[in-house]
Amino acid sequence: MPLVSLDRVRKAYGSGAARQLVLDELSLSMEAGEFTVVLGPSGCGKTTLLNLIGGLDTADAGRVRACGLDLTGASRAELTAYRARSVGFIFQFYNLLPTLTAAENVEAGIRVAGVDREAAREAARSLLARVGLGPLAGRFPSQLSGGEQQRVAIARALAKRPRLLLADEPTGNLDEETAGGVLELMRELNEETGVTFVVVSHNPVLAEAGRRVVRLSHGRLAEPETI
Amino acid sequence: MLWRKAVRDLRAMGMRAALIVVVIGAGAGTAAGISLALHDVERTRDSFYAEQRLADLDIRLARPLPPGPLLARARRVRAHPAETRLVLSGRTLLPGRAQVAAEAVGMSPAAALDRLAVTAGRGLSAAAPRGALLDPDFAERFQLGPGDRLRLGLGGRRLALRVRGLARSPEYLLATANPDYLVPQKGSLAVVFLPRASLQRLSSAGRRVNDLVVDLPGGHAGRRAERLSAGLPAARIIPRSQQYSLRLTDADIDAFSTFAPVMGLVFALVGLLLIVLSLRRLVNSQRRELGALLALGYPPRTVVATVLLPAAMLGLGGALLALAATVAVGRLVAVEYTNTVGFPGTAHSLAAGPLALAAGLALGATLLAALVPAWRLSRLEPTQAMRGERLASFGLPGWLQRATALGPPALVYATRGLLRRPVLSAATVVSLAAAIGLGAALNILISSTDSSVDAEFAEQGWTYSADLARPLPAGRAVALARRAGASTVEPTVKGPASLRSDSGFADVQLAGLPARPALLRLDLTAGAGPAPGRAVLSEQTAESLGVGVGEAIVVRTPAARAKLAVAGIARTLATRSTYLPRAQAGRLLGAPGQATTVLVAAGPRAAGRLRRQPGVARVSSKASAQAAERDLVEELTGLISILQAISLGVGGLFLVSTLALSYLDRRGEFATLAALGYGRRQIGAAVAGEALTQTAIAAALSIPLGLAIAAPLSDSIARAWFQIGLHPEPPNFVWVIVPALVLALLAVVHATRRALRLDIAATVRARLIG
Repeated sequence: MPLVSLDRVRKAYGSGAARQLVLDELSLSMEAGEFTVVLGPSGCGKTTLLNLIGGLDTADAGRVRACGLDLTGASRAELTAYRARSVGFIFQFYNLLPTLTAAENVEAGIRVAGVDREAAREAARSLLARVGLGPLAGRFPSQLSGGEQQRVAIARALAKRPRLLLADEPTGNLDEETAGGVLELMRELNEETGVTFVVVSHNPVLAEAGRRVVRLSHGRLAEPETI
Repeated sequence: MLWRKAVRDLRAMGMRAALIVVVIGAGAGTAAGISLALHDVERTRDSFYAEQRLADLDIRLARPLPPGPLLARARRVRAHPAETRLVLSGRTLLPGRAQVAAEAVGMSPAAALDRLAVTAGRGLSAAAPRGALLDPDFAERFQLGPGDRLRLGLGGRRLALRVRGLARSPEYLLATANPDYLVPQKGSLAVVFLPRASLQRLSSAGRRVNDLVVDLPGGHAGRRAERLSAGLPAARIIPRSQQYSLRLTDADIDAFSTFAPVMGLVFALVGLLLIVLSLRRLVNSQRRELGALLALGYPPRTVVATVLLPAAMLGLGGALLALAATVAVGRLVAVEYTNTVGFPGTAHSLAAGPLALAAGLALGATLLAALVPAWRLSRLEPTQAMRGERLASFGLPGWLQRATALGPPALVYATRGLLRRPVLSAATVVSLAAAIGLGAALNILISSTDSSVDAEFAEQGWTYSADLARPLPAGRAVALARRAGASTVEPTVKGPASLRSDSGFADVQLAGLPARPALLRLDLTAGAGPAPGRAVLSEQTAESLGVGVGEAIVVRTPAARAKLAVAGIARTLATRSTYLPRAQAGRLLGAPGQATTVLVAAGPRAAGRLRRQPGVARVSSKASAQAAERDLVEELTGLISILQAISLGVGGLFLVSTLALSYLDRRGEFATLAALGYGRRQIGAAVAGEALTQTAIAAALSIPLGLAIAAPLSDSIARAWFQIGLHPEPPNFVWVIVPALVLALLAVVHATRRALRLDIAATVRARLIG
């Protein structure tokens, strides 16, 4: 059984003449441990797809299942618990909490899953060391570079040991070299941990990173996917 | 273009713009509203005394005389108008009720001086000889109204009257059975107004009168008053300035006028702080687009104008709201205050000063608050400005980082949130602390008044004070009280006098005490008790004369003049009293060896018998004075509650606006927390942690701040009224801190609900974190 499955999913924004169909009868599935890159131009529905899988938004029609949960009919509390335990997010602008240190940001991502403080601290230390930021664990986000902040965000997303890690334009705000480093790190982590990665981007260069590449156009799969 | 941009900017700001307008309006409006209330209260007092024509001079005679010679005397000193009255002391005879001292005032129904303001029923009429008008406070205390029957005992006679109406008199606005004490005892004296001819007939006074009221237009009023009273058997000579109600209302308004600027200042400062912070935030959030304008070649003045135009619109909205708030706060406070004092109505005004202050403060502060950051921004290089608002470079020293790392992530986040914008957090804490401190200061003053009055009365050995109808030899006065059953009796002699020193003048009441007073005990704060040639002054009299122990003063009465030294200074509620040995006071007052009042230690039965003695004009009790003081405090509490509600309301508004602005700044972070799986309770805890921490710090800060605000106000009250000291008690703070915490919780609920309603998906993608 796939870890993520979308069955004829529709999603639109706006109403009347301003209504815009973003996902149109999209069906897609992802197996556990896959590293999938979703590519497509701006407005093709990539981020909406990610939001639906991550439980940040709900579909208008069709069915979304992830990690054994039917997200289409889930309550707000179920979606919150799903995000707390099963999903990790990586955002384009890192979205670190600026008043927490790198280590505390990672801890914040673990403790929400119910892990006790000492264990969370240990896990944070170990993960930051894994992403190469051990010595910078006590720094605040504003004291880190963009690439370092994104590494903290990756560590935070992985800290709770999610089954699914969703990354929205994770390299969109980084220079080429740093972006390459971040992609490399994600790939390594995918191999090491077996966590399912779904990365969306408009940048075709990212296609090289994915074992599986899905292209979207106008809310539908654009062409046969590559593996 | 600028105009369109300004309107669109404001529309885009939505709730934030509305909040800024409310903050501007509330801060400026409350400050100016207090000023308007003071203006209206003073206007009410002035118009009441002017319309009801409080007499320039009131001479009460020790025995009734024919009116003709009195009026002829008045004409000789060019007193106009001049009217005679018959004023008799007695007691009420209300079946099944505690009896109180009564004063029946027989006056012309068409009196030109000390006119009555009828508040219920009808006025005096010669056609209704038994139709009486009552003082509303007495009527309220005994639940009497038009149409009710009332019986009075005047000397040996009993008068059966019918209540025709209720009326306020400028002379008896704050009628009290014991005017020695500057604590109004509302309802303690049954003031009953009757047509003069009726009272003369009912009391068998014939055509005689015992009271002359006059106005003394033109100059030299003091000398003419002395000529008018010279040789008359005067029991009391009361110039307008010494009239009890006027003195008390003046003292009250003086005290209020010291409160008003302090309150106004607190609100103005707090409002100003919030306006500056809100506007600075607003300007900085437009940094990127203003940088673009600079890059496009627009001159710096256009950039400044781009900011000033929406700021002016916000300021204008705030000014309009401030005007409305000024009128609302002004009216609310003025009505409550004038009701507490007892004025029959409130003279409302739209005084230009407070309204201009409200509009000027709102508009001026807003424009200034926007101008400074806009001007700074316009001086930047376009590229520098276009980088947008600098991301907050948050950092903490190691010890603070460790100290704030305790607890769950939501709490750590909340605590650090306070440190992220220290100026905004400090401003919020100071605003809230000022609001709580102001409320607590008002509570401290109330409880200090209570405890100082209780302490003063607890020191006194007397239980009842009986004013004699006319001076009696001291021995006879004592015998009279003993016959009534009083165990300990202390005869005293009292009368009006003036004191002069090198640097001041004071009208006082001279009181003659026995060599070793057992019942009236003086609480000396300096020097020693009275001795021949050596007087004890109240703290207030000593201050107005500018004298200390051992210094010389001159005392003058209608009968004599003498040089004295200050023996001591006493803390007393009878602030006008000056104490001398009885023998010397009697000589100075033209009543050697006589007594005008007896203080007694006796039970209620003996007091009842004392009241029925023909030689006794009125008996007042210490217990009723204390009860009246408690009533007064209760009434004042109503006014204080309104001021506290305003204070806390404004404080709460600032807390809500700070939380809302802080929420708007950090909605990206809340969305991130939600995306990480943080739920309603945890996000609520983060918001609550921040708000409650601010409130808790403000509560702690409000304690020294409350004491600091209360101290000068207590000094002002001491100058205007009597020494109350400062006796803070925990409930003074608890009663203000608890509502502040409730307000904080309500603000938290609102902010949390907004955080939970966020469109997480849309918000996490925006670059909002700063």
